[in-house]
Amino acid sequence: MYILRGQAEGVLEVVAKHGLARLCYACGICVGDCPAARFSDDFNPRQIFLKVSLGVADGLVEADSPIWKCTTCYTCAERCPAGVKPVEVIIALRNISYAKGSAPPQVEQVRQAIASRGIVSGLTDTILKRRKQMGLPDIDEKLGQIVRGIIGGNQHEEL
Amino acid sequence: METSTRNYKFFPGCLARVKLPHIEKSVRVVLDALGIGLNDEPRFTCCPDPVVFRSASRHDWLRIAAHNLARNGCETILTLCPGCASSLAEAAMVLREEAEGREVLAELRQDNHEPGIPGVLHFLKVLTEEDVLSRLKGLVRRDLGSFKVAAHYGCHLLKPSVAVAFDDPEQPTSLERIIHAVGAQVVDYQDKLLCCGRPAIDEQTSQSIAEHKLNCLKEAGCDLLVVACPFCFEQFDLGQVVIGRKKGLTYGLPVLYVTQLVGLAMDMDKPALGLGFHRVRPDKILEL
Repeated sequence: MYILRGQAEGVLEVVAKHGLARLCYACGICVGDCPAARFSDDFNPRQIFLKVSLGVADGLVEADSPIWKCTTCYTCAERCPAGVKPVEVIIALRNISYAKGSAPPQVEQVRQAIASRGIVSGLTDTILKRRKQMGLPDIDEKLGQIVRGIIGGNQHEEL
Repeated sequence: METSTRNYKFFPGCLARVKLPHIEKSVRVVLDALGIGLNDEPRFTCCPDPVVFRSASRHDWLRIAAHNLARNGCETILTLCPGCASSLAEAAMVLREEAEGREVLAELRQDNHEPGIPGVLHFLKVLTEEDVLSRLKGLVRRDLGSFKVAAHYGCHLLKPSVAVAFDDPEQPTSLERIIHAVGAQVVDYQDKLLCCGRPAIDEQTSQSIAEHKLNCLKEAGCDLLVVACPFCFEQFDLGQVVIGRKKGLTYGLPVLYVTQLVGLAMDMDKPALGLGFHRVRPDKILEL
């Protein structure tokens, strides 16, 4: 069993507190109608929240963790009778995974895109032309600068 | 045309702006025809993305969202995309209710912003208000009565309900109300409220969900699918081509943004509604 210790243990404490995972009594309502649980083999939200509430991150923050299968659809969040914030728990685990360098590459790609251009995807000349033809407003070229002014550079945030 | 009684700050988001401008075009022309005024704010950045970007850093997500909210004074923000609406509305809740949010607001004050926390709405909320809906019905010029239309709600339009406060997350009716208002037939189908799958960062999961939904829609026998989210749009429009190619089949199900359906009922021009840019063209079925 892999138990997070030291600094990481403190982070997991925050995850549990933030997402209120401690309130979980493992009723399993989060599993019913969970798209990721239904359409993949190894995503079990009940197991994830139970582990987090026990302070165990076994397999949750390493590369290939099932946490990346969550669609953040919030169905579990709507139905949880205990008041856990399940999506917050998943996001917090993903933040730890990202800081460890274990997140899927597209997380860093999207982060870089937003930090450099201020928007998610790159504009192509075709789209720029189409926007003009459609009479849609120009997109400000300084959006990236605005974002960098807020979060500073392109660096990972240290946990 | 009645004089406009409503004005909002328009938040077009990323995906429609940079990949699907035809969706942005249809939202602008239809809201304009309904007397809903949109003011642009050129300095709005990505909301930011509540799924992938927030997975890197919740704190940075909150700070960028706070800037987009604060930039705006207190004029209500109207979004094109449910992802932006739920991201900004959730961030607004954190800013109001959590210690971390209050710290971010204090940071903004130091930067000489006077941070306001405006209301945030997805445009469908305004479109389904009684007076707007009746105005819409009065503008219907084309008979769409022969079309069987299915609705896909997606997730962030309705959830988390504590933040977005729109419709009923378990039994929503707003898209069906629009389909009825334009005179088309509503088609129900299995797993209507299931996610489109797009936000799963794991591609296999994402495609399996989309494929299942497409199969349910095919089974139900609808002519058109209506969505109110650019990500759901892309997942089903482009997605059915990608999945179909893998599986050796053709779904042939045109996907319309809800404003494109409304615009068609108002008999608006095909170019005005951006109807030439779908992967699965609706032209033939709609006899355009």
